Amino acid sequence: MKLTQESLDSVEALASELESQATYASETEFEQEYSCFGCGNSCENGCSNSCSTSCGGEYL
Amino acid sequence: MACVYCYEHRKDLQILPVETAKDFLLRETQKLVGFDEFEVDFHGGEPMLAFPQIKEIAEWIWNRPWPKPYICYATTNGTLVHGDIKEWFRKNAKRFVLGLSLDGTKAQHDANRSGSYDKIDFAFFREMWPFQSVKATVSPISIHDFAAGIRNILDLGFSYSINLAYGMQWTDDLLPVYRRELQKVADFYLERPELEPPALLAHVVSRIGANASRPPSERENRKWCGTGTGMVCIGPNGKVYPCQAFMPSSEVADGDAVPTTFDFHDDGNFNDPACVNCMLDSACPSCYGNNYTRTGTLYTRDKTLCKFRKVEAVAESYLFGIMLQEPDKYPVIAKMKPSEKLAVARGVKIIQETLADQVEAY
Repeated sequence: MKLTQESLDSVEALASELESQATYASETEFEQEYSCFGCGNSCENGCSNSCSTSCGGEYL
Repeated sequence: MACVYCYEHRKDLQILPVETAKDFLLRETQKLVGFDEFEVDFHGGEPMLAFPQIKEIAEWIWNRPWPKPYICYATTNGTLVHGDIKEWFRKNAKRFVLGLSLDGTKAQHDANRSGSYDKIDFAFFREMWPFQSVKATVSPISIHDFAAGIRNILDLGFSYSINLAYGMQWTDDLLPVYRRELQKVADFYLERPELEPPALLAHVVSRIGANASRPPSERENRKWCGTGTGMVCIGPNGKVYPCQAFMPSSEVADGDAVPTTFDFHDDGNFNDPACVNCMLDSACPSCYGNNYTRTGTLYTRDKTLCKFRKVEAVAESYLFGIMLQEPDKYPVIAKMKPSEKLAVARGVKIIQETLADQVEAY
């Protein structure tokens, strides 16, 4: 599961390219999106044993 | 049933009285400030053992007005969803969602969940609630075929949420097993670009990468669930708990021991001081109820999972590191905003440079 140096260099090049684009400067805030309804925010990030909530459906 | 990872060690407790449930719902739904909707979860053990009570409460809910839109939900082992119970859920599938516990292959599921695989009507769940992920839990027994389990869940037509069980003995001899299995899972998703990787392998690199550009005081280190804030739970004894993991059915002898002065709204109260120097701190899931029942504090993580979290992080960085190089091939990358892609690229590089060698040595 270790990337080759060539792959790492490629990822680094991509990051540098994105960082160099000034239009993204105000977008550095990365917001995780959650689709879990019940407990608020856990499922999308690997929820625990105790959480059990719906993933969709129609609210009445 | 006697699931090997069950955290509910007291199975002799009563069923919540119907009138107590009704009073609780009437009271709590008056407090829904800041919420657009609410969900009524029926929680077991196995909820279908109390099907008559669930049916009565649900039909009462559907026959009266509520201040916000709502949905009813229960996670079930599926073994009792047959006959009249099945027909009731078929009739009400649009207003009552069932989520299925499914731990992978038949062998894995049977080993974890008392040989119950063949008692599940998979087609029914798939037909009624196609959007609903199954809940897959991995034990030290079932981890040996982790990748095959995921394949089986997908072959059955389900999406899934999967995690290692809390409260188990996660020993170091299982680390190379987990690494091997996650390598298989990563390779599988690389070969199937139309499939979106599961949350288990899609939540760390972005957080690590996003936090890397922030000063420590601005780093996101959010609470992992809605316990005590977005969630509230009532036990059969009529007492209210932050979530079901704090109830007397869990390991806590008396759920009242949850400190009443604890501020569940302050995410900082959930940070484990022992993890502050760990690079994965902000991306490491935690179950506060499990923490509490094991240690008496809400924030103290189960450290037997630390190395397993690192294996997951490296597997995710490997998967996304390769996908980033072919963004047009992988929709999960193609649809990212530039800021997201940047965070992922940063996270991949940090994790690979920091943890990959360590994990390879496990």
